[in-house]
Amino acid sequence: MSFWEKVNDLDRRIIYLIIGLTVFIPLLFNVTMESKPTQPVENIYDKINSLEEDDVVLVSFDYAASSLPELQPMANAVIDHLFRNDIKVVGMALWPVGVGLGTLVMEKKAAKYDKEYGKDYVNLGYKSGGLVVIDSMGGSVKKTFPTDKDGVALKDLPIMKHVNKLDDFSLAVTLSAGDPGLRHWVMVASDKFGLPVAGGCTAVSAPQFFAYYNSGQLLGLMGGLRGAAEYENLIDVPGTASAGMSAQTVAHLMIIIFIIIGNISMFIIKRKKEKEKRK
Amino acid sequence: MRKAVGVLLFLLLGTVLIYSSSDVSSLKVRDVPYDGGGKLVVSWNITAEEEVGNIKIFQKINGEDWKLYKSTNKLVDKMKDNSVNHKNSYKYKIEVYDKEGNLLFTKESKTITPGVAFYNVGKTAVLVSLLIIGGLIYYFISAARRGQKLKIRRIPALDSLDEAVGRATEMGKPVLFVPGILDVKNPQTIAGVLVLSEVAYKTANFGTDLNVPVSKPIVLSTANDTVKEAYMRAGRPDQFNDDMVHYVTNDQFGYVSHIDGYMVREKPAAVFMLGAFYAESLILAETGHSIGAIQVAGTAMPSQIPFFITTCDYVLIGEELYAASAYLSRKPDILGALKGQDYAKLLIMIAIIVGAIMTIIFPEFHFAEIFTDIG
Amino acid sequence: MFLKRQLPFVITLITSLILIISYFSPHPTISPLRSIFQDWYMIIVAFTMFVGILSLVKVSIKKIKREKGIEVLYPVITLVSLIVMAFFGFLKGGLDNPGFDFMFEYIMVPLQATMFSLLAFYIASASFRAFRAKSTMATILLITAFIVMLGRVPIGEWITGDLLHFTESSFLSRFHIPNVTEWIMNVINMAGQRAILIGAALGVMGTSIKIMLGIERSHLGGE
Repeated sequence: MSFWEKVNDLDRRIIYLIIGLTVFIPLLFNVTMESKPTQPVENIYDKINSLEEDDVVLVSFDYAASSLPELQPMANAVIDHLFRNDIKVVGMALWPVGVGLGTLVMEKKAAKYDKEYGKDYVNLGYKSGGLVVIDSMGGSVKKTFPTDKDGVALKDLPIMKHVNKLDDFSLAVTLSAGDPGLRHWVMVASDKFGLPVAGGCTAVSAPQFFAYYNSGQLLGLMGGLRGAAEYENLIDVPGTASAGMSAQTVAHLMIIIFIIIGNISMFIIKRKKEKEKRK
Repeated sequence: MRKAVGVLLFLLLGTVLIYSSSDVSSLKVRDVPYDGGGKLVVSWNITAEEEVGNIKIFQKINGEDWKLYKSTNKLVDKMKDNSVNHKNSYKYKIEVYDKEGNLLFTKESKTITPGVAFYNVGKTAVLVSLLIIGGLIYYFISAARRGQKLKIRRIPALDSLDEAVGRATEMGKPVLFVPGILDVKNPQTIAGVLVLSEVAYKTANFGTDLNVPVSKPIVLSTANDTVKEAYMRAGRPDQFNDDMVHYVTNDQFGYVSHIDGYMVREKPAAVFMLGAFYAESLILAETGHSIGAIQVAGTAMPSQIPFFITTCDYVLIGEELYAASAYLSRKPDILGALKGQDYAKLLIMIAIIVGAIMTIIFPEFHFAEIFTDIG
Repeated sequence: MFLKRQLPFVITLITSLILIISYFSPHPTISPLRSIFQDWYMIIVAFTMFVGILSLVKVSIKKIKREKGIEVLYPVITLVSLIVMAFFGFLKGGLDNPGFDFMFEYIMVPLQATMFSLLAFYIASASFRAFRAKSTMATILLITAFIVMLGRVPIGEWITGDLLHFTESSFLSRFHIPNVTEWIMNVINMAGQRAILIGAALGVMGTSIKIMLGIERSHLGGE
């Protein structure tokens, strides 16, 4: 087997090792990279800036630990922005694990901006049913979630005084890793109840949501780590996404190099075979 | 006398000013049409000579006492009142205060009872589309039942079922079927289960082991019934056992770890992945590729299709997954439904082309809004 | 036979008709029916969990009896994890119980993150294998992938922005890598995505009508 044939059939474990190292090293040295904001991300930023103190924003944490590296930085950045602008936040989750992850973000940022639970923010907790839950909230939020995650009746919380139905919120931001998630928020909250919906999703699923963004059904979109890094850049609070961008950049470059090497080896082998045939 | 006239004039002017300032201000309440009677919109526009400090909005239900609804400092604004009910009547009042907290004036709205609609006119475009598409599908189902011959194009992925199961049989290895990670309420899962019926029929005929791990308990009973029925149809009920279809976990990556582990240990010769998939698609398919299994995948998740195409031997793209049951069963009414879908697609294509041309020629007509304004 | 075939069909037809009508009618006599069905669905889904756990336990016990050597370990670990996690979940504090919280944070979270991160490695090996300029179409795909990959990371901005100063000219800025990426994503990618979405949506509609009318019954375990 010639050198190029070996390269052409490169053992996948070598690829894994190189990718592992290229991701690990930039993270080790904590190199941060600034990402220029794109329009879909800026739209969310602008919408939140246009809100007023009376407005209540719904944030749905529809992800689990697996997509935490991509979606938690988005949650951090958006909640930071909302609290900084003194906007009330109602958190909820369509994924069971999302409750804990949302609580983590909200409590951290509430402490930073001195926000009071029940008055400035609340966590409604998890409800199973996905799309059905959103639809049911369109009829009555208080019937869908009679209590918050700790069992306190919603009618006793000042923040929920004027929140009866889904469209009482000024905006819904969903951080979604799959199903149930962004697609259902667009289908029900945006299309059926007319609530402006913005979202964050993993980089892998971002391309499919551009269709909803361009049709205006989705107000704004943060795609993967890059989307989170752009939002961090907009609010000027660098976080884990900005730090992760360096690793992602190197990994992308490495994949490009792999593709180039793969193609060179393929061409050399092809030419060699053609020569052998001619002989 | 002059003084008295002066005072009188001053009072008159003052009254006119105060009166006019409150008169220009308005408080309106309107019912939201075509809803279930659960929403009113209250709007106000306040013009006052003095600087306004606070505005209090009160609500009165069925002529009872006024209750403070909310306070604001916005002179021009509107609010949705979603707390209303069609069985009650409502009246609103605003009290406008100056910076020192003195009441400048009040304004009351008319009494209103939220109206109840039987039909939401805003959804007419959806209803018309539904009737046309549904009608087309129904028409072709009837036509097929009347004996009209219907053709369906070749779908290589579905033709490969025999090849895949046959290879597993030759190698003496099991067949793995993954019906996706969503519930049966997702049509992709149902479409996957319909193909499972055919795969199970073949494994029953060939006497090959079949393994169907599921990630949703509700899919468990559906898939189990389907496999059992397929084995009975093939005349091999003795070969069926309850463990063929088994539940693993609801957790996405827990489920993936189980299947990956199974693939690496048992090395199934044929892997079918048909249903709804997310990030796990590549993790499953790449592992399947590494063990050299023949892989047939199908999903309508646009972002996962590229992953399947790069790693699988055959892929059902989008609607092909839904066409699978028609293709495999060749039952006339199911083929009829498929033909109806094709005509509906033709109509959508025409609408897109006409819409694009109309938007270019008459941009002021806002042609697209006919379809986007779905309420 | 009635319980297995006719009854599920009748239930499907009635519930789907009511849900369709409730989509178009906001009348208060209809919408409560919708929420009743929604509540029932949520309750049924919660109860099916028991069926799932039963299946898991049954299959694991059978495996323990059947397998030999290291293979026995897998079902044992599954059952032990299930029992321990459930035990702590039922203790005081439920999901906030320190034991449950510890296992969740230090076992579940890293395990899930590990599985998801495998994607990065698999994408690398799959693209190494798949992105080959074997034909004209494959070459176009390859070049597009190149541009999008560069455009999604800051280095793309740097190449045509800081290095080649494309952004300074209105004509050349069209060829600035992030702008080209955005165009590919918003125009070419979206056209394809929409075509697939429309086709799939029609497929959903067709399947739903077939199920509603009882034409498609394979999922009920019958022809």
